[in-house]
Amino acid sequence: MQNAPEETALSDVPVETLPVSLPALTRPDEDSRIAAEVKAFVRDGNLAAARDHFAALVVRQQRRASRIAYHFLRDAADADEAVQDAFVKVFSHIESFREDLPFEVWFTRILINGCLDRQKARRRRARWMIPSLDVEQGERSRTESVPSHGPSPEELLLLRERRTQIASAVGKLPERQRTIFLLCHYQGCSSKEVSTITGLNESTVRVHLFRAVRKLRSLLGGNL
Amino acid sequence: MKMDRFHPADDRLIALYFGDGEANAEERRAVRQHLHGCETCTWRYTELTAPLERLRQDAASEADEVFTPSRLDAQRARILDTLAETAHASRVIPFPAGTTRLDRSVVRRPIARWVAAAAAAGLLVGVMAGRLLDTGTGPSVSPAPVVRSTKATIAAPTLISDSPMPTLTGERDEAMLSEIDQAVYSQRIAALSALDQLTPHIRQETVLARAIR
Repeated sequence: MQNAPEETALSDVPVETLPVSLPALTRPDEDSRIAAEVKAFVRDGNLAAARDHFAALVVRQQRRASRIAYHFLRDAADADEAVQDAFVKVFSHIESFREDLPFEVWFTRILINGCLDRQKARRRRARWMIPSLDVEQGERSRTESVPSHGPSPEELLLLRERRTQIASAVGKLPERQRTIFLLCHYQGCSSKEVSTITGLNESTVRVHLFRAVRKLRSLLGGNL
Repeated sequence: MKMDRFHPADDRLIALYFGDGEANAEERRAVRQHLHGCETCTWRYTELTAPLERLRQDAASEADEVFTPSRLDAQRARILDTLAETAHASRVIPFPAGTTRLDRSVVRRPIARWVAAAAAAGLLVGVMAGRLLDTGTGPSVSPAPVVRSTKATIAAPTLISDSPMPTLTGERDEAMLSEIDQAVYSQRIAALSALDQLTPHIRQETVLARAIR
């Protein structure tokens, strides 16, 4: 368990299905209830009502999804697209959603697989193509997005530097450690939830989390 | 109990911070108890976990600075627009009835083309085999000089002349097929075979016309 193989990418796991072994919910949460309604409307052919209900689901999950995608991709436009794709994919596969399972976990899995695919595509582009102006523009728009009111320019500069350092350190983590760290720490997911999302068992999730924290502490030192 | 005497390691303090679920619950309880009575470890716990907590809060606020409420509204609008467009498209495609099958045939046309090319190649080989067979059996057809010259032992003249519809032995079959292979896949012909496949052959057409009749 300690030496879990790193080479299998999370995105190799089928996207639309969840492990059969996932424990059933004793009481469905609100998101799962809405998702079940959307599924029922789609099954009845009432797509307009399904979309209306789905809009409520989007409102509830959108901020969380955007945070996750942004932390994975570190690019606002890319994260935007990843979130959009994930919601569209969820709607088009809603019939494979199991009502007795948490919607959030299913959705997060789809979102993360999309983010990992985008990262892979980005690495391929970086290997074979000359960096375009868009990347620089994206970088600039991200730094400009920090509001001008509030902290002083010096404080802003320091904050930006710190964030860049942290992002770079998180980016240096192996894929599994990074995924687990972002979900457990940034999103506050339990190791059971992360286990379901990633398909790894709970103790492996914890091992990867501790390794990630240890590595970040060594990379960032006093800046953590 | 052990914990009261031995200070927990950093990993155990971090485990307490991230702790959830039933696994290692007993150990976490012991560490927590130790922290209540040990100022040094409480200080260590804070030193270890405060930066992590700051990191978490900063990460959330960084993402929220980028994804402002207006940006989230725009994102939501785009998602719902895409869903509406998809629904629209799915309503149009199946009309009129039976189009789906036609569409598929259009989509599969390149595959059909390959199948046709393969069939043509097969036919060509078949025709060549037929020609070679003719040379061995029928006295009316002049024998192909290449075949005769390369393998003198292919056909025993007595066997051929004995029966008007001869049954080939396994040996002769093999020999003939190897001749065909040599002829068809030799470098010179292979280079031209693509062009040959595209060209209608008079003999091929005649055979087909006969078959139809």
